[in-house]
Amino acid sequence: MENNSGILENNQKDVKERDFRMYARILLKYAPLIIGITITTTAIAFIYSVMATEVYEAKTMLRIERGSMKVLPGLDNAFYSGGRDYDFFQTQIKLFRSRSLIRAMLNELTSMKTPFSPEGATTEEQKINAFLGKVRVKPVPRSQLVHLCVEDGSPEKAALYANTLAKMYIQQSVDGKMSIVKHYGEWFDSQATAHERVIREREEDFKKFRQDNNIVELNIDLTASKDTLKRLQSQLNDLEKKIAGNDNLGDIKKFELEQAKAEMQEEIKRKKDRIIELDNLSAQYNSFKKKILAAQNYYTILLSRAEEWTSTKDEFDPRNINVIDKAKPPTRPIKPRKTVNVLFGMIFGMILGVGIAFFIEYLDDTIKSPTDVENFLKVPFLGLIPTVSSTQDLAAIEGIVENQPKGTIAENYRAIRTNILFSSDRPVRQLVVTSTGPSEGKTTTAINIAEVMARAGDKTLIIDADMRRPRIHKVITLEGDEKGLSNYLTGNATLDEIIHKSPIETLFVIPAGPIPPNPVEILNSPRLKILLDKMSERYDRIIIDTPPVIAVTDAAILARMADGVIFTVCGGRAHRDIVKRGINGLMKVGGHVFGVILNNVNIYRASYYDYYYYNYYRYAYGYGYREKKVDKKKRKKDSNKKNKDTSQL
Amino acid sequence: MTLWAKLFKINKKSIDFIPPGRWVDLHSHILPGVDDGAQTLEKSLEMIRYASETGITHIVATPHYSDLFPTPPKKREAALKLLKEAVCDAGISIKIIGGWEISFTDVHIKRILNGEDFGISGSRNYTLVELPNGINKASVIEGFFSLMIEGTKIILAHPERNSLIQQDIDLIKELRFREVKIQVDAESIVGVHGPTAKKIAFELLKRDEVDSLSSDAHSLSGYKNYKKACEIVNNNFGKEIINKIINDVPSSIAGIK
Repeated sequence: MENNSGILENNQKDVKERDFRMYARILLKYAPLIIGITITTTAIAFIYSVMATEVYEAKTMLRIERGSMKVLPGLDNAFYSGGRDYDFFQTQIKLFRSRSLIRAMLNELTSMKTPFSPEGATTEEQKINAFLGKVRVKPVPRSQLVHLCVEDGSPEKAALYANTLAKMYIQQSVDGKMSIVKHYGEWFDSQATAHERVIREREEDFKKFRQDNNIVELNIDLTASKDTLKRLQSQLNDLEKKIAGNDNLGDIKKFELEQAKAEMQEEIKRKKDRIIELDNLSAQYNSFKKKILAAQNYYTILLSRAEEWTSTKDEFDPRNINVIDKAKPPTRPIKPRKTVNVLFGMIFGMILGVGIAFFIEYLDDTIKSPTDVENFLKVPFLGLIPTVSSTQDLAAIEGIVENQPKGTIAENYRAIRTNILFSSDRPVRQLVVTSTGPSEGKTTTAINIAEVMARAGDKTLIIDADMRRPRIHKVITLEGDEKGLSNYLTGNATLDEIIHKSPIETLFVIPAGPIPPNPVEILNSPRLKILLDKMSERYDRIIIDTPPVIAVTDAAILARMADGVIFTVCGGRAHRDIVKRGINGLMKVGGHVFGVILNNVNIYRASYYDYYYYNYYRYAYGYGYREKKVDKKKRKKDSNKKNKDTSQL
Repeated sequence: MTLWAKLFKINKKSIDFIPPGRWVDLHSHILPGVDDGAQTLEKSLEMIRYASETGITHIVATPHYSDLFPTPPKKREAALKLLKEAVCDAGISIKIIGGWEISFTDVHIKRILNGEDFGISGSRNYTLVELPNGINKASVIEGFFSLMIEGTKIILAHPERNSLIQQDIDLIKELRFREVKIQVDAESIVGVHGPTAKKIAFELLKRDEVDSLSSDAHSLSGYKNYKKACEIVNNNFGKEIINKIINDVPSSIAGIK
């Protein structure tokens, strides 16, 4: 072709379309299965929803504020560790799930005589775990609000748990803060006591120091000493003047005076020493004094703070967590969520169904469509025979051309005839009709092909070489006695004796005859070859019905002698590999395979290729769909009538 | 066609379809009482009158020659003669030409090969052939070859309705390469033969692989649909194409000068 690329593109487009159609076909084909699975899973989900124990969720709303303690400036951090609001909030939320809180709550519940005792939880730890599974904390975004949700089988209990948990949470939080408050009070007390002792100790030390150094009060002692010194010095001066102004004093007197003077000088000297000593002690003295003062000052401050604390601590409100909405027993259970469960069941069923459908399709290696014939068997496709509506029995199908020479199935057989005659360069005189397995429609096909050939004006002979399950003589009404092939091959009849006339003028029949015990041996008789040669001289077409190839070699013997073989394949039942093996087997012994006739194709549920056939049937012959339908009904009636007739017979 | 496209088409201003001076219908079941077409002479005349009013100038009467309707040639000759006279008497200026629609089966092909003439009279051996249900590609190629080698030229009737073509539209290209003429049914364009036939017909028109658009009329509605189809093709593919498929190519096939 001139435009290969164009064709290629078209092919690719085609392939895509075919793929799509293939998927659509699979879905359509397995629709009952998919719908069934979907209904089942939906039903299971529904039953589960109905049967499952109901779970209620009680909800209490709390407001968690970041309150502050106004009592002691700078003491806030002692209560609220962590600076940022977010951290604070998260911490509070996490606290709801703390084991200590739950434990406290469980104790509270026990004390309220409504103990929490879930199934299978004996130890306290198990109980806590069980309860933790029921609690959910849902902060309301961008607010200080928190929803505390508790699930339970009973709505009342759920509400009770939620409320108790909130209560315990608040209580624990308050207790925590109050303990800090109490701690500060105690701290003040202990500090004050400690400092009292320190002051006392220091005063003791000071006292001892003063006793040791003979100091009453340093400044007073010093002043006193200095005054004494002054007085002594003036007394000394007076004494010296007295001595100097009274030369005439007696020696005794003078001696006494001198002695007093010396004493006085001695006394002055002593006083001077004392003053120096006191000066030296003053540093130590002051240090003692300062220490005592400092301790006293601190003690005073402590006392005043402690006073302040005692007077204001009663005003402190640690409740920065409030219950906004108390939990009420919910009226409707949150679990099982029926709609969600049922919807999930439905979707799951659908997915499962589609999955199974594709899996079955994947596993299914039967030949179902003309494409399968061309792709897997690699032999020409000669035509298809659609499944006949179920009301018609086998006998009706077998006489299809005879009964309805103008029907679509007869039309198909004529097309098959044209295809057989035209699609091969070989002579088409002796045709073997066979199949891989039994009951694939060999005999029906053989009879109908023989019939369309006879009706086309060819002198046709049909030979029933299926000497295992011969059926042709049952289908075609024969004249005369039923001597057949076996009679001739065993030498018990002449050719003319075994050829029977049929209702159709140009169609002749050789029935199988009595069933022999050893068909293969009989078929191997040289008389078979003679028979075929002679018949070829007399008849235009010879159709030979044979047993299936997979079990016995009868068909192979005949295939070797005939011009070719037509394989009948029952759509949806014959497996690719088995059919392939059968065809290859015949080819190996020298048989020529004209092609495959696909039997029993459900055109209303077949593959993409047959989709066209479906359309073809619907719109065939341009009379529109409605008339076609009427036709079908009529035919149904007719066939019913016929069935009745036969049953009456 | 999607709903949107349909709505869109309504809004689109249609181009007026002006019938060409010569309009040849290559495929019609107009002969009275021979096949599943017109059953009486009155019905035939009714159809012809309508066709004439539409602007059709030549009708090739192509009764079936198939398993379902094995019209005997003598019967056709008689009907043809009868109709021609009736048309003449009625004063309708349409020319009726004799022809056949042969079903492609071994029996019928053999008759052609045996020398019987099923061609359109006046043409150089052009024969209208329809493919039956269930035929395969190999026999089409083989059978057409055997006909053509004997000098028969083939007009393939309504391939868009055939399952083989519907699943392998590229076969048309191959057949045209072998000088097979392609005739599409008007009723396929209108949609009477279903969505697939319609799709394939449009695709063939798009690919410019249609040689003749003919009525395949079995009754008066066939000609009504023929007119409708011509308008649709005129709107969608233009004046040149419609002129080609109802005038130029059919005229040369039927040997009309």
